[in-house]
Amino acid sequence: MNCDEALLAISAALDGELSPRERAALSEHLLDCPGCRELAADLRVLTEELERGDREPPEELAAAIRNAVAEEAKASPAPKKRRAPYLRTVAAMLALCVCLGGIGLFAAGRMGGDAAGGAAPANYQAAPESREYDSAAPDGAEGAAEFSAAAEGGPETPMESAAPQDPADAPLPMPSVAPSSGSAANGGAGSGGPEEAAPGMSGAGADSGSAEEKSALTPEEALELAFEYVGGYGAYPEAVRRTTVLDGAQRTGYSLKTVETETARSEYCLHYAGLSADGESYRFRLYEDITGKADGSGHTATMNWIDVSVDGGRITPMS
Amino acid sequence: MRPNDDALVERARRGDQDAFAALVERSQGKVYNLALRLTGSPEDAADVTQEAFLNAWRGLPSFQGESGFSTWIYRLAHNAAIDFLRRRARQRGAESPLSLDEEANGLASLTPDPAPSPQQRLEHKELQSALSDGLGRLSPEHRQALSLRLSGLSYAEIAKILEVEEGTVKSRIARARLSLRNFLKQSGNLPGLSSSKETEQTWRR
Repeated sequence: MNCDEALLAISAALDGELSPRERAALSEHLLDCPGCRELAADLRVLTEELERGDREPPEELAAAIRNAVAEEAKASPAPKKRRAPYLRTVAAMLALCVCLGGIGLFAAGRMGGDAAGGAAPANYQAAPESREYDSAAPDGAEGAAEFSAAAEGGPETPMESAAPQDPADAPLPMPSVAPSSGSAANGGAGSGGPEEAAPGMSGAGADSGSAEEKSALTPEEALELAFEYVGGYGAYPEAVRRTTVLDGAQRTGYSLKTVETETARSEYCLHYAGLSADGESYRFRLYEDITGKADGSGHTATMNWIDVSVDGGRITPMS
Repeated sequence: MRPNDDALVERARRGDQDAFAALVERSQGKVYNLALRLTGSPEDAADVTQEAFLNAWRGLPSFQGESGFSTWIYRLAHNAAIDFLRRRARQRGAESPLSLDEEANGLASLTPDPAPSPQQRLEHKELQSALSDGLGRLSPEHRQALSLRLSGLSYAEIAKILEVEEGTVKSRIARARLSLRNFLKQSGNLPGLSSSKETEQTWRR
C-alpha cells in the first residue's frame, strides 16, 4: 500500500467502510510511515469536529413546513394513490429514450389522435377511482392560475373548463393501462420497475367497473399524469417540481434529472407547453436543457412531446 | 430508519398532515444540517429544507419505501440544494463563486485567510467557522460526498444519490477530508495538530 492508497483507507476506516484485507494492509503501512500516522490522527480529529458541528434548525422551520404542506394540500388534491407499476416500465423505456438523447428528437407538430399507434402503449382509458379532495379543493383555479400565462394560442382557455366542477365528489379519471405492446415494454430497460410490472392489468384503479363521466383535469393534474407517464419518482427519484420561465411564460413542470460532463451540464425537464392545436390535449415538452460550463451558454433540445387529453383519459407521446 | 417511520409514511401518504409533521419533526435536524453544509448559509439551508420536505410531500404517492424515508429525504434535500445552488449561480452570472473544479486538487491551491490571532485559534467557535469556510471551498463533488457522509449515509447510499461508483465516493470523501485538513493547518485552525514540513510535503498534492 502506498500513501495515496493509505489516504483512502484511513478515510474509509473512519466511516466503517474498510474491508479486513484493507485494514491489515493499512496497519502495515502505518507502521512504516510517520506521515500517514499523523494524517490518520488529523483526520480523526477533523471528522469528530465536523460531526460536532451540527446546528439546531431554526425554531420556526417545522411550523413553516407544516404551513407550506397545508397550503399545498389546499391547492391540489391529497396525495394520489400509487399508480400501476406497469407505468414504470413504460417510464423506463422513455427514460432509455432520454438517455440515448437525440433519438427522440421531434419537431413540434400536430398530434394525431392515436398517432402513437402500436409503438407506444399509450392507450389509456378512463377508469373511475375516487380521489380525495381537501375541503378547500375548489381552489382548482389557484393551481390553474399558474398556468394561465402559459396557455398558448388555444382558442379557448382551458382554465374554466379544466377545474373540476364539484371537487368534493368529482371522480377524476385515472389511467388504467390497457395491455398493448407488451413485449416491447418488457425489454431490457426495466431498471426501475418491480417484477410485478408485467403489462397486464394493474390493480390500481381497475376495481370499479362503472363508467363515469369524464371530468376535465387542470393542467397541473395533467402534469402529474405526464410525469407518471415518463416514470415518476420511480424512474427519476431526484425529480423536482418547479416553475420556470420558458418561452416567455411561466411553466410548471419537473426537473427530472441532471447529467454532468466535464464540459456541460444537461438537465432533463418536463414542462407544460400549453394546449395542443386542437384544444383537446395539454401538451408537455420533454427536453434537455444544456448549459456549457465554459461560457455558460445554454440551449434546449426537445426530445419528445407528450399530450394528455384534457379529460386525462389518453396520454400520447409523439414517438 | 426509526421503527415508526414506516407507519408515519403510510399515514402521510393517505394525506395525514400530522403524520407528515411528525416525520418532519424527527428528520428536520439532519436534513437542515445537510443543507447547511451544501449551501453554507443558515437562511438558504432553511429554504432548501422546506423545499425538500415539500417535494417529499408531493412525492409520497410514488415513494417506494425500499430505501427508507430518511435516505429518501436526504436525496431530496441534496437535489433541492443542488437546484438552489444552480439557480443562484445563474443569477450571479459571470461572477463565479469561489470553488475548485479540479477533482483531485481540493484546496491545495488556495491561499488561506489571514492567520487568526493565537487566542482565536484556541476558540472552538473559530474552528467550527473555519470548518464551514473550508467546506464551502471544496469542489462541489467533494463537498457533496462528504456532506452526505456526515449525514450518516453509507458509501453505497451516497453512490446512488450521486450516481457514481462506490469507489468514487470513497475517493471523494478521502480527498475532501485531506483538503479540509490541509486548509485548516495552513490557516492555523487545527489546534493540537502538528504541522511538520514532512507531512505537508507528502500530502499537498
